[in-house]
Amino acid sequence: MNISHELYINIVACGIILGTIARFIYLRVDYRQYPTYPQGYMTHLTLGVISAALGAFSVPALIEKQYTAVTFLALAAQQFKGVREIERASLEKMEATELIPRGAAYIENIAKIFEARNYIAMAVAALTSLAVYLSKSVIIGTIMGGLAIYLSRYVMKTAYIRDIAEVLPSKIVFKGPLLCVENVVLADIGLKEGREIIEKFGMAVIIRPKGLDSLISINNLGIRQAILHEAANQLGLKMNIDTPELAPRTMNNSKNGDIIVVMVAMNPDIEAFVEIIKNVPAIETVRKYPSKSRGARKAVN
Amino acid sequence: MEVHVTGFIIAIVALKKAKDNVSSGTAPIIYVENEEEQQKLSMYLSRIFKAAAHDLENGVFILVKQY
Repeated sequence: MNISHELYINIVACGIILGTIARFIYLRVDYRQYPTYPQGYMTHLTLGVISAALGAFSVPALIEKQYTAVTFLALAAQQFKGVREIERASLEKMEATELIPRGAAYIENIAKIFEARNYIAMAVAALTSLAVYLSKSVIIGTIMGGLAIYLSRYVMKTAYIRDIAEVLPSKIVFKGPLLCVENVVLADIGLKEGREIIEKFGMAVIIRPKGLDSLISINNLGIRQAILHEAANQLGLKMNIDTPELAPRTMNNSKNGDIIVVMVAMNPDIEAFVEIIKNVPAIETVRKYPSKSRGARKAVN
Repeated sequence: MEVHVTGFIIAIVALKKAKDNVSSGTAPIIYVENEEEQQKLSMYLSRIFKAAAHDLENGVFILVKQY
């Protein structure tokens, strides 16, 4: 089947533009998101344009019975896997410079999201091109593309700590040198000076899981590290590398499965602390769903 | 990649009267007269070695390497 030159241009242009817009929307600057700098922006936008172009060209190629075009999509998938590698490598390199590292789980999560966003750009572009081809109308194609971008938000939806657990403020109590929250010992602080600072500026919250699934997920050390990293980077730490007693820490309460988070912040505002923890992403890669297993359900009942 | 050895005792600061509570090991033992001096010395060592000072509540402080 032959496509007229004009339609061909419409198909490809619409696909590329909508696909790039999709990538651009997901590139919004967020306090926690990396990249937050112009170079990173440029890199990811360029890759977004390339993936959109691949998606857009695939439709007319298939219509003209150029089936080898599919292999190019496979090539694109390889390329995006490369994006993930790059993200992972650069974040891992920065770990050494972080006072509180992100942790492997969080890095893996960020890298996966970046890979997935390129697929979204490609899928939106392909869908838009297909719509333009079928309807022969740029306007309908654009509407379809917009709809695809809107629906892709549901695919890319991330859960947050507030979705899987309650976050409650609590109090730090010292029993001799032992730092305790809710009768759980978190650390042994030998120095009087350290204890005084913790008593004055320390904050404690309890993360109470909402069910079996979230209990297992929230006990994962990767999520706990991500919580510490986010909280430390938003409130600022009093800790320095030579004052390890002021390090933020987490501990699980073996009685009920709660997680206790303690931090000595520059701005000890407990409400802000609770809010920040609620908005930490519940890392997808470490979430477990034991409620779907018959054995685990039996154990609970 | 930098490699850090963590989680080992770098020094022990013990009161003289708690001498029976410590014996030789891998870490040097520093004896002090009173609790004030113990606090001060532990603080110095903690800052020097980037170690956390832990109070064992029997007159013995251990300094554990953290970074």
